[in-house]
Amino acid sequence: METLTEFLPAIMFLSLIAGLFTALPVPIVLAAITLIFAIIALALGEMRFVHLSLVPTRIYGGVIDNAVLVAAPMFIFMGVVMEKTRIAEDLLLTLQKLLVRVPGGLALAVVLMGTILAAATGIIGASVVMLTVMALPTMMRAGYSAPLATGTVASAGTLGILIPPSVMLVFMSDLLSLNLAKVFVAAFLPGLFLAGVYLIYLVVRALLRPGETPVPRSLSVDEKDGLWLEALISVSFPLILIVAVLGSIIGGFASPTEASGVGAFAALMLGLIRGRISWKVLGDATDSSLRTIALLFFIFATATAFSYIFRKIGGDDLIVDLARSLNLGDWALLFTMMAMVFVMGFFFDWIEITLILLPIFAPIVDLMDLGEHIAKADLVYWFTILVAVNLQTSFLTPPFGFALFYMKGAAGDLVEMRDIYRGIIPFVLLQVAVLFILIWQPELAMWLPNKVLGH
Amino acid sequence: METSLKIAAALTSLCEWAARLAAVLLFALVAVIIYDVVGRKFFSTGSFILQELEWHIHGVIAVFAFGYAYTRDAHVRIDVVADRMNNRFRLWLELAVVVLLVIPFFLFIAWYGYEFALRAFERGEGANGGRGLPNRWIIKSAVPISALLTIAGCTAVALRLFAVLKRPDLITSAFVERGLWKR
Repeated sequence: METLTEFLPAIMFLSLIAGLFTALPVPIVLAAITLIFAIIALALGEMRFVHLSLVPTRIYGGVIDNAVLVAAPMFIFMGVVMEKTRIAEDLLLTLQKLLVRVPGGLALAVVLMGTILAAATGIIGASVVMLTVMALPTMMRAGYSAPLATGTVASAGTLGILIPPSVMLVFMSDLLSLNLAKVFVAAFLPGLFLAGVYLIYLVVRALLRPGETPVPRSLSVDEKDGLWLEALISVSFPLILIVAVLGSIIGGFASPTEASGVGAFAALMLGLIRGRISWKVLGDATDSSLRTIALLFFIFATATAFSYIFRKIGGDDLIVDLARSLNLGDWALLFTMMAMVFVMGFFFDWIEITLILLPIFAPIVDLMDLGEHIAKADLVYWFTILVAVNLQTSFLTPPFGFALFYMKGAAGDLVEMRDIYRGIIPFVLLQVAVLFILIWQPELAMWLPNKVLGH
Repeated sequence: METSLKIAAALTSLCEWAARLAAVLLFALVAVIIYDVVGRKFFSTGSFILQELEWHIHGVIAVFAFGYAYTRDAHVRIDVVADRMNNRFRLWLELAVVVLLVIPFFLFIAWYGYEFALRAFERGEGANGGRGLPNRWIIKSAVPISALLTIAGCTAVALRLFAVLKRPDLITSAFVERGLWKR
């Protein structure tokens, strides 16, 4: 009996992982496992009933009475409005025309769009599908090799979780009780750095292996007609919007919540200017936003109940004891956690990983100290960015990469799984390189926030 | 069976009305944030009340559509392994888990959430520190209401799952395809 109570949290966690693979909806599994283990814990006397009756209070405090999370529904709404009013599509089409004279121009356009519209809802499954549907057929028709096209689209589609405004970062900073503005600013340079590495790689590859990309050409007179006005509207407007949203956060003019509301408002206005707002568009946009919001917050609410019970039956102690008894030292612990995040990214979207794993990691990260390498106050911010980059890498890594399945699903017979696997490898190598640079040089993440927001 | 499908349709429609309310509140939230930001930056108005109103509205948007999303099968499923499982087994499993575990879980949340909101009402709880919105019980009752809506969505799906298993001639999918605003 004693061993049972000792290992109860471990059994609870493993049951959850097993339960998730039954393909029942994730929050349904979380609620079911939570109830089963709450009853077991009550029966074993590990928990008193009064604790259990506090679960609704926890859900209220975590999900509703939370000024920071207000940014999440607003950024989702902003991203969906940009998608439904076809602002995203216009941006891609125009960038593509502007870059047609550059080797690998279309691939560059895809990465640029992924960078600028990183906002687009921030759910990996959704953004990879959107970019696949929008860009992949065009790239294949234009004469890009299948591996190059798929690699570009998959990696550009996952940039959204890293580059702010990212919904994932909103949740991560809430779970680790961080300052959201600081997390956004810390993610900014690593995100741009990664996008920059992709762009350089694509140009170099297009120059070295011209066979994989179509020959650069000049635009026909027809295409040139009105291009500059079109570029002004479809590239500068979203660009200004994103720069304004991020700039006001980085410059300290607005809280992320305010920026998210302004962003959603601006997206609606942009749609109005383009004459794309109709009752149907508004209906579709609210419907699609609400489904994403419900998907996220249903998992968040049930995961809150799960972690509460998990902690009550001694889950925290188990994790910290386990970490201590391994006697690994902080660096080895860091790499162990990174490895766990990486493996989970094969199967799960960031939602499950951050909402389930981060509360478990939080006490370990709290105790970590890497001495001279990074200031204690910055450590958890740096850790957050590392997890973000790590997850993005994991989603792309064959054979299980989460984003790759979504891509194959959306692309249908257009490409072979083999091409997707082959195409993604160089991008994964670049990602891993960036991840190690970030581990080696924490300043890449922490310099900007400490500069503009102070310590 | 026809009756239970009618009940499922009624519960689905209840979830839809709650989701429509949340959808309209998306615009309200945008409006409140804009009013708050513009007021504070340019007219030095702005207030605690507005900032509290922001997370109150957010709270409703966040939790009112759980049931709706389930009737639309919008929640994430990890189907890498389960694709190889027998389809009828998967349907029975979902039915059993929803009826035996998930609905009881949310009944529990609804009941203790109700007590939680009732306590706030009886004590006349207001904002922390006295500045901000009074009557905390209103937003606190979002917890039990959301739990009830989730139960409504779960029951609707369970009834449909049962119909799919027993009378595949009546319906073939436990989930509804149509959008939020279509009749």
